[in-house]
Amino acid sequence: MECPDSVDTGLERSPVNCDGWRVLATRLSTADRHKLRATIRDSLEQVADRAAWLAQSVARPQVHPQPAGRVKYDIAFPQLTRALARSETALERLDPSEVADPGTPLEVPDVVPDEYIKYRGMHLIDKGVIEPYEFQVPYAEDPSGVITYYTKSVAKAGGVERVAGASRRSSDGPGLPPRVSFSTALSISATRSCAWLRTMPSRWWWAPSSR
Amino acid sequence: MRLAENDAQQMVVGAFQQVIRDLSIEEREVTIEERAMRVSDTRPFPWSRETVDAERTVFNLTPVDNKFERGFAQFLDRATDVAAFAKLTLNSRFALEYISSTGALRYYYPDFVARLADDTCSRDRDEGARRHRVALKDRRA
Repeated sequence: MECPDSVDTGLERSPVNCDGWRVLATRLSTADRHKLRATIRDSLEQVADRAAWLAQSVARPQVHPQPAGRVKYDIAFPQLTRALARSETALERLDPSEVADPGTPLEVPDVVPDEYIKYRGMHLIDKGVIEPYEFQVPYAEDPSGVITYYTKSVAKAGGVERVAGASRRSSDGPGLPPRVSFSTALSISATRSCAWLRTMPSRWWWAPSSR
Repeated sequence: MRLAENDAQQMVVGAFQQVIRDLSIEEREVTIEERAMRVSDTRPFPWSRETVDAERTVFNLTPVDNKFERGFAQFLDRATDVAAFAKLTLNSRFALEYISSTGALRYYYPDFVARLADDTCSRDRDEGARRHRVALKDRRA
């Protein structure tokens, strides 16, 4: 029998009995023998864990009602319809002018923003730099990209990012406009509020700076 | 450029967040559905955690999640003003929607339901040392 190169190879080629394992183990180097022992031990532990889990599953008690003997302890309570629900007309009532201005506008620092993010891949043990990277931070090509990004962030924070309904529902009726997703409508709402958006910088973060 | 900064994003998103949440959740008039929910309708289920042998429950065993619930179940079984109680699990399929402290719509799963001696129901949640008792307005028919 050819001496295996590694424990894994040896395990694959070995006959499935204990004698075969021992023969292979004597031909292995000391390090590989330790690996083989560890592999066998891990396998046995996995089998033991699996057996314990199965035994525990079988022994798990079943909880069940006993209405025959304990009917006087049964409890019935009325089922109520939902008291709270997501509004389907929230967008129609959304008015950007109701969004409160911040108490203190953010100041714009008088520095050039970073165009690149520098990243270094380091070796885990010797801490040497393996590969340096430099990622360019792309600027939005047009305002719609910024609005889309912010729309998604706002919708997620508002808990409505998965509230959708882009297609017309049969219950809407033929004469009604199709429903749109909350994020789409929020984007439309923001886009239509151009006047509000134009005033936004001065109110929100174009605070007087040293520039 | 300023919009890409974290503090600017946090400020804008935070300002919209509250307005959207106020608008997106609405209260509806609550109506009582025809069929009442019975604890005994719960299907049998396995339980791998602790159980308590209790008398005043319709279940053969009272499953508990921790030692606080164990103590609470034993308390309910001994309390003089409790006629019957039951531990509610996910198998009970009972939840109440509520608005969290952050304004999000969430579901509240009561841990226990008890029928008091005066035929009043109460739902309880035993959260460690703190116990929030939600009194129910409903009386059994």
